Amino acid sequence: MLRVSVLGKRCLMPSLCIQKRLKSYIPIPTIPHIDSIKDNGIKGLYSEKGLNTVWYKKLEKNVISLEECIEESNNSDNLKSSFIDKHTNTNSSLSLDLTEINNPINKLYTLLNKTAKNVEDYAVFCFASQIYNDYFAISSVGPKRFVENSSSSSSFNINKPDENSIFESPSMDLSFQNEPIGQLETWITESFGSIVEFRTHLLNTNLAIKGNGYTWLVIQKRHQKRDSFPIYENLYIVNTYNSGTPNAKITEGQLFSVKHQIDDLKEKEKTKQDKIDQQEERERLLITNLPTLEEAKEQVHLENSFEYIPLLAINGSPSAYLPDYGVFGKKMYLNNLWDCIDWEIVSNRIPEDARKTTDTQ
Amino acid sequence: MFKLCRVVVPIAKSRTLVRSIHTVPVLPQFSKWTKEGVDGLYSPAGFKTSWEDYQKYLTMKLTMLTVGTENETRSPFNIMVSSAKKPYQSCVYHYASQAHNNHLFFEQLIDKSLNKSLPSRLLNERIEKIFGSFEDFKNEILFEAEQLQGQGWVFLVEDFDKSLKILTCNNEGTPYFYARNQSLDLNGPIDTGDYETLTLIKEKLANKDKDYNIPILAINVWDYAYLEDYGINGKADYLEKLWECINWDIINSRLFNPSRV
Repeated sequence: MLRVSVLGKRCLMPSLCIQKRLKSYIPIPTIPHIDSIKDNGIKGLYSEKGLNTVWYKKLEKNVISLEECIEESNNSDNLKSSFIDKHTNTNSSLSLDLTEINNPINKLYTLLNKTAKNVEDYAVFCFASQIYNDYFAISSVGPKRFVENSSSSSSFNINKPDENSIFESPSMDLSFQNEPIGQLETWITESFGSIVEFRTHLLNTNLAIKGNGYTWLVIQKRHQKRDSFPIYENLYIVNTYNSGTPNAKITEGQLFSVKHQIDDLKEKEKTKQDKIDQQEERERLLITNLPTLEEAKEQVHLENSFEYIPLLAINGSPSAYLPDYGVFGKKMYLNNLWDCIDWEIVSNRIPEDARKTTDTQ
Repeated sequence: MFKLCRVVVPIAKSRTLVRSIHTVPVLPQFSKWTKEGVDGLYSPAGFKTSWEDYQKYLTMKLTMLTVGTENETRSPFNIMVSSAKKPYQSCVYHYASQAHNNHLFFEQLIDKSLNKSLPSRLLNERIEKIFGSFEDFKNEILFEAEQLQGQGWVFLVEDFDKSLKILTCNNEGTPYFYARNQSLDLNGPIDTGDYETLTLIKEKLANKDKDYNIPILAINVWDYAYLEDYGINGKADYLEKLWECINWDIINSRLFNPSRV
């Protein structure tokens, strides 16, 4: 049978038949503050149906698919080792919190790291990344804690706006409820100017996502030299699409390395004489051809060793707002979401040593 | 394919200005489907989300984005074709391409109970030539749709040499222009095949190659198309049901037929 698929890498993925497994070695990430209220949905953001769609049902499918893909992988044992609990390592001078390392989400991150550049495990990466991203999005929010003064009963407005909502002018208010607190607030103001600017930037960046994607608030962490203490720089807002992962460090540089791979292969095929010709040819090309924009970008990425630490994720995929807010409801969803962000949880994601560096400043 | 609602605004006695507003195209079965849904595929609520609301959203956005621009008087198809080549118009392109694709998709639907259409002999021949058998073709195209990780479209397209192929497009990708097929998803692991496809697209662009692809069949894999009725994990179920509701008479008529020339 002739395959016309453009993506040769699309390996077989399991069919989407859902069957409950009794035991899975994949640690399922749990979010205690959401799990305890799941039957009522997240007050002010999701109904029970909406929450189920965006988190519980999707998670169930993704975990099953992930397990099947790992089973089918040639690299199965190595991938499974990501999920083994780590125990105290006496050699390690930095006593890292084991509960943190053994947290399901960090194990998933280990798996992402292993598969991010391995095309054979494309499907494993996709499913693991989706669980990771969804976890971040849902665990960053909680039930709305305040009630607006105006109309107490209808302030948790989850409804489907009609087409006229497109014509609504954005509110000119410059103060919002549920603003970030403490150190995070200072850091946000330093990075974005003000909370209003940050809010506008954050929500509009998400609004621009048309397909599947997430908007992240990240800290840039830079290692100047090997083994030196990392420097935490500004906060940034980034978008990831489909199964993209916020920490560009683990996926970047692939096009560049693939190009080299192809060039090397071509070179091997040629005879020695050709090689000399090619060398001359290449030297000639080097003089005349500047790298393209993409190549230059990749090169910069490779030379800079920084990574992004995610603090907050906002799901901008249609499935995140369709069940509760309908086709015209993305703006309402985002406004409600801002009211429901749990800034305490977000603040707690700032690494310990980053908290110290900014304190001394 | 699209009708523009022309509103004639008299400015002065001697001059008239023709202004266009994009509206939701009228489907032959529209009034029945709003009340009863598409038999065998959509409930009334599912039809409302996937067509009424979504198409209204797309066309309204398109009108608002094109007012006062060079695209003001063009149809969604023409806006899509012209903006596909301009990176700075990618927002307009999104709405135009989605409006066109979604219309293409809904045009080919029919109630399951009324569906007596079959692929024509010509279509069958062409499909068998490429895919082996019609059954293989069905499995192939639905498999592609099921495998698509994010939102998107899967098309059966007719090439310039009248051969058929399956084309998978991410998000608002269009079959009409190779640089906007959006078939590559570079968000995860990337292999040499991806790189080669990318280089090929760049070469074609540099050579100003033309694209003669015409979509024959469109499969909608956006959440709008199935979330309401089938749920987040219901894609496979939706695709299976969709296959029963395809009006092959429409598909047959889209195919190039030498005897009609």
